[in-house]
Amino acid sequence: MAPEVKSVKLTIDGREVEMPSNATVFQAAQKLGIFVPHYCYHPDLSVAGVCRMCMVDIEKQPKLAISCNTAVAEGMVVKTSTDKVKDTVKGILELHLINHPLDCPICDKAGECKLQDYYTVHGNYESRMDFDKKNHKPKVQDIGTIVLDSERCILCTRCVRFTAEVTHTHELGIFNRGDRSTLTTYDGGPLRNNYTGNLADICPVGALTAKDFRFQQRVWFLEKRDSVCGMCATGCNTTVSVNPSTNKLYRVEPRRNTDVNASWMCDIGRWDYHYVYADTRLRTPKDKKDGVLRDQTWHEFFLTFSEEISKAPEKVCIGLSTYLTNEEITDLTDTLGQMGVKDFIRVAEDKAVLEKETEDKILKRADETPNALGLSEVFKSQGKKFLTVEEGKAKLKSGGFQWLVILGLEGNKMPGVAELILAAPKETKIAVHATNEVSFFERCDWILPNVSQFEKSGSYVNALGRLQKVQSSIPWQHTSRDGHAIGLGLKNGNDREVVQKNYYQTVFNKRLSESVFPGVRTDWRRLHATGVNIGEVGYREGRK
Amino acid sequence: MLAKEKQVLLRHIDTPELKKISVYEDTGGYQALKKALTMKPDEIIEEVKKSGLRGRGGAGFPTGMKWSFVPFNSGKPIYLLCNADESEPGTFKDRVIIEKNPHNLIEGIIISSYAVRCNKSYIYIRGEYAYGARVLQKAVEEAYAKGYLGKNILGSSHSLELVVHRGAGAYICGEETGLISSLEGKKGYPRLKPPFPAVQGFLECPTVVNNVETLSTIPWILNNTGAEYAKYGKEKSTGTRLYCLSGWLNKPGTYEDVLGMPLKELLETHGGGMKNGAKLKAVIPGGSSTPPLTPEEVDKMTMDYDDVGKYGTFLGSGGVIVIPEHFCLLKLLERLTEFYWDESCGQCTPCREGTGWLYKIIEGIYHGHGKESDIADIKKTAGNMMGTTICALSDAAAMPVLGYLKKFPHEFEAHIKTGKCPYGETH
Repeated sequence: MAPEVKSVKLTIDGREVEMPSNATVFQAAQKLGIFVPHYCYHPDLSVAGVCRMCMVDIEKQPKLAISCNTAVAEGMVVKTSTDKVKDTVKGILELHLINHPLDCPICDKAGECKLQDYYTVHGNYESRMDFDKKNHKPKVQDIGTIVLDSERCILCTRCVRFTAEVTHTHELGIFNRGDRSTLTTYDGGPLRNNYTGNLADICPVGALTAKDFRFQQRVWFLEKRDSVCGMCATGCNTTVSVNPSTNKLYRVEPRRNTDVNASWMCDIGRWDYHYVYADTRLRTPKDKKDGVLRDQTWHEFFLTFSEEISKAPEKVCIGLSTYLTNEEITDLTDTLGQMGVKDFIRVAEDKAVLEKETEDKILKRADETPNALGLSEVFKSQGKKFLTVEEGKAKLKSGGFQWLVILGLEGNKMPGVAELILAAPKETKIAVHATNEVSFFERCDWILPNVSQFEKSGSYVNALGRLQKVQSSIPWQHTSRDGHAIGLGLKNGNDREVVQKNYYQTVFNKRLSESVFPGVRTDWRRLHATGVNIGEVGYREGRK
Repeated sequence: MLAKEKQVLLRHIDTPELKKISVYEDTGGYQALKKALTMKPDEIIEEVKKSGLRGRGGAGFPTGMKWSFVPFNSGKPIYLLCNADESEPGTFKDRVIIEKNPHNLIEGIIISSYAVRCNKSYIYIRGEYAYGARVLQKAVEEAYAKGYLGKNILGSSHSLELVVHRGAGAYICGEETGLISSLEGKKGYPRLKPPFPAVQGFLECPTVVNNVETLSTIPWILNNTGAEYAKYGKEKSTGTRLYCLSGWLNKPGTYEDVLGMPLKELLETHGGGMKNGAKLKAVIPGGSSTPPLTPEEVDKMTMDYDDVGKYGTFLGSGGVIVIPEHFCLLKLLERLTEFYWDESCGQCTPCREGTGWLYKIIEGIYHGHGKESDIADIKKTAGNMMGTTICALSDAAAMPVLGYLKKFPHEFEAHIKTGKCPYGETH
C-alpha cells in the first residue's frame, strides 16, 4: 500500500517550492538551486544517510535532520545555512578529515575532490588533531581497472551501493567496524563488471581512481564538453574532457540523463576512445597502384570518384556505416542519389540492430554502432530503401558492381564490414572510409581516413528512438574528413563548404528537423543537450 | 523496599529449578496465556496501555503505544523480536530472567505475539550469553512439547513459531534496527528512520522489537490487570523494574523495586551501603552511557523517568554503577570511551571518527599527556557527535564524557596539571 502521492508546498531558506509528497528535502533544495553539501547521497543510488553532511534545520524539530532522508511535508520550513547548521557541518567535515591522508599533491582526485571543495568552504584551517594521527589502511591496491586506496576512503558507501544496486555484482564491501572500517573487494580480487569506471566517478574522494586516467592530467587543465557516446546503440550522454592547450582528449565520463543512462556508462564506451590516438589511425588517403598502397590526396579521390560515379552510377554500391550521423547520411544519400547511385547497404550487424533489449540488462547493447535507427529514419523520409548486410552480400555476389564504397567506419570493430568485403567478387573494387586500419583493408583499392565520433558533430538516434547531439571535442585528426566533406567533394570537386562553421547545423535545420523528424521541429540550438524522443511522444520541451 | 510477594518479575526467582516448565506452571505460569487467548488482541494492547508500561531496554518508550503503531492490515507478516542482546556495560537484568525464569519470557512473548498478530518471533540473544541461550533453547522446546508454542496454541486460532538466535558479540546489535539487520544476516548496521520498524522492519515487514524485561512483565499484567500494575511507581513511571547494582557496594546484584524510589534508598537497602564505609564519589544511574550523578544529586534523586531528566541523565537500562571516592574517574572514562570506540559500527562519520578521537584524548589525559586545550577539544568533538547520527551510539559515547566533564572537571584538571594520575594509578 504505497501512500498516495500529493503535491506539497514547503519553504527552504525563505523560498517556497512545490514537491510531490514522496520527495525529500534534499531534492526540494536541489530544485531551488540551493546547494546542500553531501558525500553519500547520489541521485541514482539508494539513500545511505551516513556522511551526515546534508544537515538542515527544520522548524519545530529539536535536532538537525539529514535532508537526504527527510520527506517533505506541507508547510515545512527548512533552513540550510543557519549558524547551527554551519557549525555542525563544519564539525562533521572535521571528523571526515581526521583520518584522511594529506596526500592531495599526489592524489589524482585533487581538483575535483569533494573533501577539498568543502574544506575550502568551511575552512577548518587549524587542525586540532595533534595525535600520532590516523588509522593506516592499505593504499595502492590493484582491483582491475580501478586503483583502490582504502586510506583515502571516507566510507560513504556509494561504490558499495553501486555494485549492489546497479551491476548486482557485489564486489565491494566494507569490512571491520568503527574507524577500522575498510573498503575492499570481497576476496581481494578484481572487479568483475563492465561498469567499473563509474566507481571512479562516484567516489567523492580519491579512494577509487581509474587506471586509465591516473596521472595523465591534472583535472584543472581540462575542459569538459557535452557529447553522446557512439560505442553502442544506447547512446549514453557523456562529457568529454579535453586539454584545450593541446586539444587532446583525456577522458570520457557519463553525463546524467534519467531517460537514457542515469549517471552511468559502460567501460567500453568510456575507455575505447584510445583508437583516436592509436598507431593504426589512418593519416592520409591511400590508393592502390600496381598492388601496392600509396599515399594520395583527397583532391585526387574527389576527382577520380566524381568521374567514376558519373560514368556508371548503377555500377557503384555504397555502404553506409551506422556510425555516420543523421546529417552525414542525409548529405551522402542526397548527393549520391542525385548522381544516380541506387544501391545503399546499411553496414551494421543485422541481428544486433533488431535486438530491443540491452545485453546485460543495464546499458550495453549488442549493436555497437550508435545510429542504426537514425539511418532507417533518414531513408524512410527520403522514400529510399537500403539493403541489409545479408541482402548486400547477395547483391554483390551476383556481380556487376565496379565499386563498393563503404563510408563512415569507426574504431576497430566495424561490424559487417569484413563480410561485405569478402562477399565482393574480384572484379569489384573497394573503397573504405575508416578511422583505423585493420588487416582486411589489404583488399581495398582506396582507403580514406575518417574522423572519429569525438571529432565530428551531428545527431544520432539511439535504439530507444531518442535524438541526441554529438558534439566535437577535438579537431579532425591528420587529414581525415567526415561524411559531409565526402558528399560535398563528390558534388563540387572540393569540400571547402564543410570548413564553413557549423555546416552540420545547416543540414540539421534545413533538411532534417522538418522532414526527417517532423515531431521534433526544432533547430539545432534549441535541441536540448539530453535529447528528445522522436516517436509519438514528440518534442516535449519546445514549440509544437 | 518492595516486599518479595509483591514483586512482578523476581517473586519466584529463588524457586529451585524454576527454569523447568513444570516448576514454572506450579508457580502459576502460563495462566496468563490461557486468559489472554480468551481476550481479543486489541483488549490486550488496551490493557498494556493502561498499565503505563514503558520499554525497559533503555529508551523508555510506552509499550502499548509501540504495539498500536503496527499496521495490522498491510498483508505482510508481522514479526515480534525479543531483544536479549543485553550489552550495555553495567547491565545484567535480562540475564537473570533468561537464565532463571525463561518461561516467564516465553509466556510474555506468546501473549505479546497474540496481541500484535504475529506468528513468527525471534529471541536475539547476545553471543556471550551461551548458557542463557542453552536454557532458553531448552525452555522453548519444552513449551513446544506442551503445546504453548507451535500451531493452534492451546486449541486457539493463534500460532507462533519461536526461534532463539544467538548474536556474534556486538554492542550495536542491541540497537533496534541494528538487531534487525543482524538477524537478516547482514552486518549489524542500524538503519535510517523513517521507515520505522513498526512499518518496515525485519525482512521489510512490520516489526515490533521489545526488551526481555518488558515482555516478561506482560504475563503479570494479564493476570493482575494493567490498572493494578499502574499502582506501582509514579504517575508517568509506573510499575517495577530491575535495578542492576554494581560497583563499590556491599551487596551488588539484580533487585526489583518500584520506579520512582529514591536512589539513596536503593543503594542503602538493596545495595547494603558502601563497601568498607567508603565515601561515595559518583553514581552512574542507568548503564554506562548515562551521565553520572554527584553525591548531592544521589541524595535528592528518585528513579523515575521525569526526575532523572532534571539531573541531566537517564534511567537507561537500569545499570546502577557506584563509584567510590578513591577511584579515578579518568580510568573509568578511558575504559568507557575505548568500549564505544571499539563498538561503533562505523557507518556514520561523527561516531566512527569521534569515538576514536575522544578515546585518544581521554587516554592521553589519563596517562598524563593531557593539555589545557584538551578540555575544549573534548567539548567540541563530543558536541559534534550529539544528535548527528543514525542511531544513539554516538550520543551514548559523547554524553557520559560531557557529563563527567561537567560534574567532575577537577578530576580532568588534576590529571592535566600534574601530568600524572592523582590516584596513583600506574598504567
